[in-house]
Amino acid sequence: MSTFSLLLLSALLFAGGIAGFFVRRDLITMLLSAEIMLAGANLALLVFSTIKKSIEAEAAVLVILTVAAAEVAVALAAIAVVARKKGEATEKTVSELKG
Amino acid sequence: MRELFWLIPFFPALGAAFFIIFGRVISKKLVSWLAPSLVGISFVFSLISFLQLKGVWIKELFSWIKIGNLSIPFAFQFDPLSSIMALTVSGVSFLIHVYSIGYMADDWGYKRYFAYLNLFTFSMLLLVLSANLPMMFVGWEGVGLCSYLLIGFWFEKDTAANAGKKAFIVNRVGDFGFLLGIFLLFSLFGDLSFSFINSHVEGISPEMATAAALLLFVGATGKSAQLPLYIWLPDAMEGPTPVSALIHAATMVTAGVYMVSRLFPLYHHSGFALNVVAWIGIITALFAATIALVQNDIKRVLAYSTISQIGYMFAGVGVGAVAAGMFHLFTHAFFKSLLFLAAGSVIHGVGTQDMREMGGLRRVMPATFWNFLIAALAISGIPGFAGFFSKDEILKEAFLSGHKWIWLIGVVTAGLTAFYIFRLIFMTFYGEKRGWDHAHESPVVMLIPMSILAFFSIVSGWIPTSFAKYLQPLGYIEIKEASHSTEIVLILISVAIAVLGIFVAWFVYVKRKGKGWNFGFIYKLLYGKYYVDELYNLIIVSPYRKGSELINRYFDTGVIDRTVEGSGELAMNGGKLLSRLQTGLLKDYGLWMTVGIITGLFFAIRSLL
Repeated sequence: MSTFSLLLLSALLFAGGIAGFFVRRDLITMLLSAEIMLAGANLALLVFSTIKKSIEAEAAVLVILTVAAAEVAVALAAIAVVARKKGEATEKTVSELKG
Repeated sequence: MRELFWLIPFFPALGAAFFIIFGRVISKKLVSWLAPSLVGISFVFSLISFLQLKGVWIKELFSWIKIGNLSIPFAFQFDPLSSIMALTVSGVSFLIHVYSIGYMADDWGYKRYFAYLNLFTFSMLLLVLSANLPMMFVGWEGVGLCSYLLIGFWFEKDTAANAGKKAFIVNRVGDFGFLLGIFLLFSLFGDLSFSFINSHVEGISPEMATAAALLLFVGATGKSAQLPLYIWLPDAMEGPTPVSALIHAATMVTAGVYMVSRLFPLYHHSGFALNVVAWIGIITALFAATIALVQNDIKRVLAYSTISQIGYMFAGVGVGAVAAGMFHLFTHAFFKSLLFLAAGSVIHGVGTQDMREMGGLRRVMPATFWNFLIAALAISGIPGFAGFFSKDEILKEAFLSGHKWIWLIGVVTAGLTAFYIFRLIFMTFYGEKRGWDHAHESPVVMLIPMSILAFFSIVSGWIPTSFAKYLQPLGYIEIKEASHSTEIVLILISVAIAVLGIFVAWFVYVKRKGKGWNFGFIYKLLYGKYYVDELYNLIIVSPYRKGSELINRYFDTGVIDRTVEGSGELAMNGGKLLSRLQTGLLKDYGLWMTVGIITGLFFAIRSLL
C-alpha cells in the first residue's frame, strides 16, 4: 500500500473515532472510539517512521500500545463498577462533576 | 580630659542598655547602686572637664552622615555654655537618681524606671554636648521619648497613658518645626555645626535668619512648654514626682532656652525673632503664673510655675541677655527640682496631691518643710536666695535694654510667683490638718539629695557676674553696667513686690483661712486654665476626630473595604460563571479538548508555513 493510502486510513480511523466518541452515549462505545483514535494516531506514527527510516516512532508506538492496554483495563473496571452501581453505564450516569 | 570629655553621655547609656537587656536577672540592689553611680561618674567627668576647660573643645569621633555635599560628623563640643548645662544636668540627675531609690522603693517597675532615667540622662547630655544640629536633634528626640515613657510610667492608669500621648503628640508639632528649621539652615549654610552657623550668620539675609530662627523656636515652644504648645506639661505631672523634678522642671524643658542661647547669633541677626522669643517668654510667664494662682493640685501649681519660669528664661535670652537667661536656667534647676522633690516627699508622706486635703504638715514633716521653704524663698526672689539674683538679672537686663513692658510684666509675674508659691506652703504646711490621718517624714535617702539641692538653691545665685564672665568666650555675651542708683531702685521694686505677694498669701490663707477668696468669673477662668485645653479640643482635636470618622465612613469602608470585598466577589462570581462550562458530561470535555487541539494546531501550522 502506498504511503498516501496508509495515511488516509489513519485519518479515517481518527475521524471515525472522534465521530464515535461524540455520537454514542454508552461509555463502552466511547472508550472503543477513543481506542480507535489511538490506533489511527499509531498508524500515522508508523508511516512516518518508515518514511524517516527511524526507530524512535516505532518505540513510541510500542509504549503507547502498552499504556493504552493498561488504560483500557482500568477504564473497563471503572465502567463495570458504574454499571453495577447505577444499573447502566452512559455518560449521563457519571455527571457528578457538574459545576 | 580634653580627649575624653565625650565619654560623659555614655556612662548612663551603658546603664540604660544594661538594665534593659539584663533587667530580669539582676537584683534590685545592683540597680540601686549602679544607676546613680554611672550618672555620678558623668558628673565627675563634667566637673573635671569644667575645671580644665580653656576655650572650646571639639571632639570629632567619626563621620556620621555623608550624602552628596551633606557631611555631618559625630562630634561633641565642650565650651562654657555646654559645660554649664552638662554640670547642671548630670548633677541634678545624680541627686534625683539617689532620691528615686527611696521614692520608687516599692514600685513594681523599679528597674524599668532606672533604665528610662539613665536613658534620659544620656539623651539630655547628648543634646547639650552635641556640636551640630542633627546630633542635637537626636538628643532632642531622645529626651522627648524618655519623657513620654516616664510620664506614662504608670500606664495602667488611663490618665497617665493619655498624658504621655499628649506630651508626645504636642512635641511632634514642635519638633516638626525644629526639623524644618534644620533643613532651612542646611540650605542656607550647607553646614550644620554650631560654630559654622554662628560665625557665618552675617552671610544670610535677616529675613532668612528670621524664618529659620522662628522655625527652630517652634520646636523650643514645644519642648520648653511655652505658648501655644505648653498644654502638655501640666498633664505630664501624671508621671512619678522625681521625673517631674528632673525632666519637667530642671533639664529637658530648658532645652529650648539652651538651643536659643546656642544659636543666639542667628536670633540676634534676625532681630525680629529675638523679639518674638522675648515676648512669647514673658507672656507665657504671666499667663502660666496666673493659672498657678488657683490650682489645688500641688504638682500642677509647680508645673505652671515651671512654665512661667522658663518664660522668664526666654524673656532674658530674648532681650539679649544670654548670660542672665542661662543663669536663671542654672539656679532654677536647683530650686525647682527641690520644690518638686519636696512636693514628692509630701505626696509620699500623705498619699494625696490635693492641697485641700493637706494642711498642718509642718510639725509632721519638718525637714521637708524647711527644704520647701528654702526653695520657695528662692523662687520668690527674696534677697540672699538663688532666684533673687537670677530673676533680678533678667529684669535688670530687660529694663536696661529698653524693654520696659517686658520688665513691667516680669515684675508683676514675680509678685504672682511669690503669692502662689506661698499659697502652696500655707495650704500644705500650715493650718489644721484636713483629710489625712497619719503622715510620716521621708527616709534619709530622699532627704539628703533635697538638702544638697537646698544648699545650691541658696548659694548658686551668688555668682551672677562671674557667671556672665565665664560665658564671655562665647563672643555674644554683653555685660551691661547699670548705675548703682538704678540698680538699687530695681532691686527694691522686685523685693517689695515679692514680699507683697508673700504677705497677701499669708493674709488670705493663714489669717483668713482661705475664706473670702472668690473673684467670681475670673477665678473660674483661671481655675479652668483659661479653657485652653477645651479650645484646643474644639478647634483641633474634635475636628480631627470628626474628619477621621468621615474618612473612616466614606473612604475606609467606601473605597478600601469595597475594593477588598469587591476583589473577593469578583473571584466568586467569575468562578460561578466559569463553572457553567463544567457540565460533568464527558463529551463536553472532549469537545473542548478537540477545539483546543485544533486551535493549537492551527497556529502551529500557520507558523510553519
